[in-house]
Amino acid sequence: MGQVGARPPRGAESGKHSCWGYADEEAFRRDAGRFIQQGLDAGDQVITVGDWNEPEGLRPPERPPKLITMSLEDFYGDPPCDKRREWRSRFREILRDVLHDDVNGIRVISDATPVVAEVAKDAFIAWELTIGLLTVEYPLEVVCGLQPSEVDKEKVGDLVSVHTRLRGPVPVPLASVRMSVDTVYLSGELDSSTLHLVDLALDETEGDVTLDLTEVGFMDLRSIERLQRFVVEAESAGRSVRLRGVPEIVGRCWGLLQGKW
Amino acid sequence: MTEPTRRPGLHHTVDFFGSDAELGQRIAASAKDGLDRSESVLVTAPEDRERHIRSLLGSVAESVRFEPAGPRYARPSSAMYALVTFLTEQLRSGRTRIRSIGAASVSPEDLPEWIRYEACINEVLAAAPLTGVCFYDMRALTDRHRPAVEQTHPHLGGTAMGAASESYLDPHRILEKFPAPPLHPGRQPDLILHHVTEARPVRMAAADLAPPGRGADVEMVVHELTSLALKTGPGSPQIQIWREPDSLVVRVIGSPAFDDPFAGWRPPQAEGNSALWIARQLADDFSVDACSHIPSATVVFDSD
Repeated sequence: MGQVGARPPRGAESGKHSCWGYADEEAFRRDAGRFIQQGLDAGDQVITVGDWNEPEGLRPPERPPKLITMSLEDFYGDPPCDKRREWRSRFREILRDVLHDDVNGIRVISDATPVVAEVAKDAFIAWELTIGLLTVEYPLEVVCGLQPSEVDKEKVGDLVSVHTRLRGPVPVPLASVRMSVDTVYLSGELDSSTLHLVDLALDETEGDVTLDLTEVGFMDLRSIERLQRFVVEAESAGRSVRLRGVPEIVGRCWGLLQGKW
Repeated sequence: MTEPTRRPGLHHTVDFFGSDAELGQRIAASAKDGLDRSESVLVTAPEDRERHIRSLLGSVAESVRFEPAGPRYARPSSAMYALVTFLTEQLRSGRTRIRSIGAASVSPEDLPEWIRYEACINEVLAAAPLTGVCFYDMRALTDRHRPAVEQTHPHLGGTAMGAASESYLDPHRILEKFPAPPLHPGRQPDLILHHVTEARPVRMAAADLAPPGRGADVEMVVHELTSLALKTGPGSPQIQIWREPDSLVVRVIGSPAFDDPFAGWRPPQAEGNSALWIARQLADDFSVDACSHIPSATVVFDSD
């Protein structure tokens, strides 16, 4: 007889792209161990990235077949976060290769700290937007570990803005920018300090796209003008751009700013 | 067909009328003149005159855009918005010259702000391929008011062939002659924010004090004016806020961007203009104090 009320192990959650801030490496390894074990119990393929390959709390002691390890170079490329579109195609192939009948989903966990510290801010953010996009496209859940004390404060601020879940000692962002295959989601308070995030997300789009502003709390004029410019450029290139959930004040300013010739 | 207007920029002319019949005839004549010159024509007239004007135009009435005067002439900023929007839309669709014919019934009390508006058109749309034809209702004004109207129009008469106005004055002179009254109350502000370093806390403080239904407008305008002052000012701006029984008054002090008597009238072509343009459009009243040692911008938001 099975356990009454026992929940099935929770598998990888598509669209979940988390940033786990940590001050203490041991605590991160412990949490990572639980994350990995949970995935293995749920029948997920688990990929760990980096050289911290023996997280605590794993059972059994021998490595199960659904747990594979990639080096930082394999995962982030060499040089890191370069040639995103090529990487995206290659990673899609890897995801398709591991998605067999007996795999429910894929979990990736990486301690991103050394790469974040090394790579230029915008390149890493664009990279993370790409990863976020893949989490929506596939049954893929990704955790990026981050030791904030080792990374420039501005990078930390931007990083938390492009993840869907946050944990540990990382600041709560005022704005968030996320992508799916055909949608850019903007939320929170968007102003000149987040304009480059919006730029990066718009630059990553291909084909027809929806700009979802449902969760926008505030958007300044520069951000509105950036979206307007994007719409004009995309439409003149034959792409279709749809706006969803436009706040009333943004719509009004959008109209008032049309007077350019 | 008449020769297209050769003048590349603004041709701004005024005429006066004393009856509805006279207005219809003058507007129809000007609209036909515009169509003959291949201009894209917009007529803004009292709603109850449209049918009459259409009948005078005959078959060419279909080539003319009509808009009711009420919403457009509710205040000068809405008039400017309507004009700039029509101009933009027509130029984008490939038209090369636009004619806007407007009939207004302005009271003597409101005349100074419309005089300032006319002067601003001369300044900020000087290069626009626009023929602006204004008809003033002399049933609402007297001959005493006529010279001020003529001083803001370089040409007289309702057609593109109108004579030059001998009394025309430079827009700067007009704004000196008809200065906008100060908008901030003559008492100490209810809230003064010194040493401002970012716009977010300012916009949030102002939005908290906004009259009902105006929070989003206040937030946007205060954010933009504060950001502009932070970006262009020599130091940190000072923000003064008055909470009046039916309105909120916000004054942002300390930016050279406010040192322009035409601030907020210039269409949002260049960076910096957008903030001032939006401030003038969203607020119920907007003014800059360009004359003082430290220029300031003041906005008023009334209850909805």
